[in-house]
Amino acid sequence: MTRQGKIDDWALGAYADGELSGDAAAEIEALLRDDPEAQLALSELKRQKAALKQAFDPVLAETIPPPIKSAVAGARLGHWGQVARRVLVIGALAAALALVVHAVDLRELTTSQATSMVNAVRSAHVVYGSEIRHPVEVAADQRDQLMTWLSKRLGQPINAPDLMQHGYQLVGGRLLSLGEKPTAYFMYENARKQRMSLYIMTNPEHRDTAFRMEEADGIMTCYWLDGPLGYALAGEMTRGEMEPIAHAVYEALDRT
Amino acid sequence: MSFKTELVTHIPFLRRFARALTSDQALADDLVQDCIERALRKHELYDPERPMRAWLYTILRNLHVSGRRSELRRGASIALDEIPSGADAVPPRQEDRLALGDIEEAVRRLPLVQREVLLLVVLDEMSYRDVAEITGVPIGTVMSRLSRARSFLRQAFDGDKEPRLRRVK
Repeated sequence: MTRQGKIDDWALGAYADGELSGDAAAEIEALLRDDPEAQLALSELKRQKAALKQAFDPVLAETIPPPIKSAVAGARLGHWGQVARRVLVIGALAAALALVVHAVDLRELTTSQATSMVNAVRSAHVVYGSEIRHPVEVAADQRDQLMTWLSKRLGQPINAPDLMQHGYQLVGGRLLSLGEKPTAYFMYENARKQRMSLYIMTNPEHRDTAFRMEEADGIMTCYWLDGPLGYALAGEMTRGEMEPIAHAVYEALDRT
Repeated sequence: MSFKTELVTHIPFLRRFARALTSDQALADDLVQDCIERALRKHELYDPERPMRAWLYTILRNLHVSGRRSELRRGASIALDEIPSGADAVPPRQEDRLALGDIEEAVRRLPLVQREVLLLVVLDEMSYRDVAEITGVPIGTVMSRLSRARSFLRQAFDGDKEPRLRRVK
């Protein structure tokens, strides 16, 4: 069912759904003018929408059934004061969730980008994570010096986020390279001496992407692009353990 | 606007979403009622900074998914992607193209994960971002499910013919 034209179905759908910015929409409109097949596909999308609306919109005008009405009328709401503490916790969770959603863009990483990010953080984690005597080049007690150095080399302000809340303490960091470009590597360790790696590289295209997680050989990785930088985490942990840490890293770095 | 007052304004939309999701009026209204009760019980979890509608849809959608799960469970737990559509999840072949115009039947035949995305984007005109949040998947997944749902509908109806429409009973 894919058409041969220059506009792919996803872009056409995003255009029809009002998801594209002014420039991107104008681009699609320009392409549409010379692409009768795409015009047909667009009118098909509009027809589907009209059919759905016509089928289900009459529900909007129906009288609300009495059981639903009385569910609202009969309810007594709790007092805010009693739940203020919980609201704070939930608020923080909601903020984290909102940030995750904010991190998402319509574009995904290309396979080669994703592969190189994952390979870089995995190999750094395997090589340095098992190092006992020299796991890092600059230890956390020279934190400021480390950050200044790495920021200078990457040409972006770099900061290793505080992950103590998740039980991970910064061990230190080092300068690494990825395809001739300098990258920053930070190592964290928890009370059980389990290590976690955070890799930060420049993202010259300034593209944002969603979190992507992958597991191989017992090492979980999570990576994403956010503005001028790309990030990748690696550690021997489950998806459920890594997810909140990834959110914390995203949140911390978003504020620096 | 108080929590309750605002809640009431969303009920018609919740009912439309539930009806299209379940294609069953009684089941849909039960879902809406459960959703409203839950929202009132858990109202302190609502973050007023966020649109209430998306929050309510998240509740309703999760109630529906867990309902379908327990209905289908046979010992092992069932992954969300494996929950079949209302009747069967077999896409129509050329020879058993749907009776012209039965959009409700076409929607019902969609796998649940595609159906909910289609309805939220097309019927409710929600942003991909909101839909990603409601369904708990990345935007890329929202887009691919949406694209599959649309191509299913396109196959179900001959592209050239105007579908005849049935009203909701």
